[in-house]
Amino acid sequence: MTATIDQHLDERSMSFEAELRPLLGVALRLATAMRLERNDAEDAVQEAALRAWRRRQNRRPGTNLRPWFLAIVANQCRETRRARWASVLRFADPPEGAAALAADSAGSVDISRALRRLPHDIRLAVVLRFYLDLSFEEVAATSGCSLEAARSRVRRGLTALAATLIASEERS
Amino acid sequence: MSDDHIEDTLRARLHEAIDPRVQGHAAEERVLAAAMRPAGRFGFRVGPRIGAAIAAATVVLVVGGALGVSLALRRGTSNNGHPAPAATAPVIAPSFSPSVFPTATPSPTPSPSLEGIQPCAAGVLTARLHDQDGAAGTLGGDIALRNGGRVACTLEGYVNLHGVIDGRVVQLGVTHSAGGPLLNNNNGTLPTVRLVTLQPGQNAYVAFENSDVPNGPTPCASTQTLLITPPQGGRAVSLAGMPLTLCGGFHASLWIDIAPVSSTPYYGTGTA
Repeated sequence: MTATIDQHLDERSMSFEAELRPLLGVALRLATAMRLERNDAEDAVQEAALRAWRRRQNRRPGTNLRPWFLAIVANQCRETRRARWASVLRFADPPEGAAALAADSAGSVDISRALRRLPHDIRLAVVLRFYLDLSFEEVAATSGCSLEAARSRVRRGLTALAATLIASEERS
Repeated sequence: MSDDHIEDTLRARLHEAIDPRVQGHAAEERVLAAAMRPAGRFGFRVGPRIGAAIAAATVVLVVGGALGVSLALRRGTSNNGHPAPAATAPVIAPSFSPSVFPTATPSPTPSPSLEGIQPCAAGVLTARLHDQDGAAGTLGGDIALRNGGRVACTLEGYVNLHGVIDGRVVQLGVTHSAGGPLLNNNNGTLPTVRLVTLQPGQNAYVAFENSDVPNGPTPCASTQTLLITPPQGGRAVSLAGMPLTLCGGFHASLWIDIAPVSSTPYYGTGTA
């Protein structure tokens, strides 16, 4: 009996893993765009994958896994805050932030800063639309909002970033 | 600037800013391993940073406790029976040295060791350029990592690379088996991650590929020193006297593609 249960769990686990695996690349890209730090992003995707596994029964049959999982990743990115423990570890981190910024062009630094200033919902819409190239329908499904709201968020984000983009274009 | 132009520019800027920071396939495997293992599925999962913090806190408590006991013993009952004052453990920042540089990028979920063999720390590793190949702007080679310790240790996965450019330590645009013309020349089969056990004196190899031809808007840069962080994180091994010119590629500035640590060199063995 135990063996049967274990076998059943293993099969379910493998099936879920097989569904999830192709989405991890885009999930890491989304988390990196939202957190702008690679270790934070990986942490967020790990937590999201764990949550997805635990909540897999809540997913309605036939629901597309991609927006469902990306929504969990996006929520995880919002909830992730640098806790006290994490700040204790900061001194051991590599000089990635400053060094990576130094290596970036001025344009990418500008856009990173501008992204950080956007509210979470607007930043998510911009990233989904212009970095992951999702359709407005997918942006809405992932953001958990209506199609009109998704369009509005993308438009607001674009307006907010336009000044930065124009300035960086003029410099180059 | 038209709306379409703004949108196109935004797409380009986002890729330019974010792509170099995105982790590769190894991160995907770590995510799966961490999320799908039974402890994660059914129990409480300790994240990599929290786990490291708990480990650090444990060290602080143990050291602090030991100091406290030691002080109490030295002082005898000088505190009139009151508990000895708690010792405050100092926060020790990593030390800098020419050969071992603290560029810790702890791998979020280090692989378990093989029958008690520990992952190789930077302190026991030395690095040298084993071989170099390539032409027409694309270069490749193998970095040999030698276990200079007295016991066997393991390496598994991808190293991280920083370069020293104009006196500054800079994260390189490392991609993992991105499929460049040299590393992807092995009958289309990209190198795979394997656990490599290094006996004392043995070498493991990291194949790399880079472009020294300007490609895209990002400027090229030259480095004479590479800082190689082992897959499990920690300090880095310095490889000096290795002139490399790094340009853009695969959406990364200062692009350098690497293969996972391997027990055999990739170049000069007929595979490339």
